[in-house]
Amino acid sequence: MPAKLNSIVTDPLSENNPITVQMLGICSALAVTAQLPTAITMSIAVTLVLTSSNLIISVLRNVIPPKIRMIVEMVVIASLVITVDQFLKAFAFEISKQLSVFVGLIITNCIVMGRAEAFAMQNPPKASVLDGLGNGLGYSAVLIIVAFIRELIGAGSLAGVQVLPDSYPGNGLMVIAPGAFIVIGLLIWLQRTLTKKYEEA
Amino acid sequence: MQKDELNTIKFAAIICLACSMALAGVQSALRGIQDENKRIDQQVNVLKALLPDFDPEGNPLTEEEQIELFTEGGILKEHKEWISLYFENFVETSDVQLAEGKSGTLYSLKKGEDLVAVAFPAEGKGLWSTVHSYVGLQPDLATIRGVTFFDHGETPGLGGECSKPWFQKNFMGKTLWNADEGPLTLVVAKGKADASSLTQVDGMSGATITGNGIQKFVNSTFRDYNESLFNEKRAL
Repeated sequence: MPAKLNSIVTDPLSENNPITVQMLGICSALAVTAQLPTAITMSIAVTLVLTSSNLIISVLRNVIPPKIRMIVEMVVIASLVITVDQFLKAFAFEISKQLSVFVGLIITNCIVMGRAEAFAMQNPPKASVLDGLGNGLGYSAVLIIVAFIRELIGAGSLAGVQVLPDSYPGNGLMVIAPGAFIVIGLLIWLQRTLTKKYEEA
Repeated sequence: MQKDELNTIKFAAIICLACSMALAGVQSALRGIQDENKRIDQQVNVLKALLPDFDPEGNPLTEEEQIELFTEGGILKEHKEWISLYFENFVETSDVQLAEGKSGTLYSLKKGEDLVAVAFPAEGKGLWSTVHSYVGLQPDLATIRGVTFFDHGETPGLGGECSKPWFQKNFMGKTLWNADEGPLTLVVAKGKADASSLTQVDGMSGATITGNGIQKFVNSTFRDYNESLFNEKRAL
């Protein structure tokens, strides 16, 4: 793979991560990360939607009338999300109950719309698919790290399996949304310190 | 200019048509599996109310409830099949007519001729959403055997605690009726319940409105069933 295409996938994993650098998709990252299984399911769902919406938009990019391009992007994304939601309801019923509205809210996840508008509208299908995949994986990486920390400290378990001794009392703060804010904040700090990428004042 | 706008409309029509066709296809293809999931979920919840120690992941029969079908037919591994089989064989579902033209459903768990438990559905508003539940009673039609709250949109960690085992176990052994006073009022306490009380359950902290909602709909639904059904049954 040429270096340029390669960096399309790897950049969003850390240096241009959609959550910790671009600050997109924070809402769902707070909501579904109390436990690993929901975070993993959400990660797969978002990566799938992002990759396929980038592909479809990119294929259509020369025929989409400019006046209605955002509405078209929305229609494509919404259809993909509903499809994913239907599949979850059929094949992962328990998890889909826990994720409830958050799968539907992928439609409004700024990452998906943002990549369609910023990348897929200007680039050929192959690069767009890689961009979608990279951003999806970048989102997933943060989600899974946050869920790992929250479930471990919050309940002493990982994916429902108790790993800390039974005497561990659990930490209620980590289970509720403010705990996710703190963990994500620390991650952003850590990542920006490591990559030396600071906001310009 | 004219041509441009015509193209825009054409494109919009085509994309809408394509997307709706695709969605309709997906939905009708998956409908069967989804309905099956919902049916099993409902059966699991009825069973939890009838048999509080019921565990959908494990063996739903306690040792003393091992009944011929399973001793003769061998043990089924797939728990989905367990649930439906168990439900079909031991739970009797009957539609019942309640006062004021309301209709209800009564689930009876029988072992041979003996009634082991009954359960009825109850639902009502919590804070954000309708909370669904099944309330299971002992054969005296007064003591709570098990209760399950599910399919709600309450705040996770606060009102959402109502579907956690600790909250539901809390109801076991409480009573909704006695011979002297008739129907009693179950109270979801603020904080810890009085341990000696037969009508108080521990509340969920930070979820007063969900607790009040549950208290209201459990009591009123029990009264409906009591008036039109349980009083007659007890007299038999």
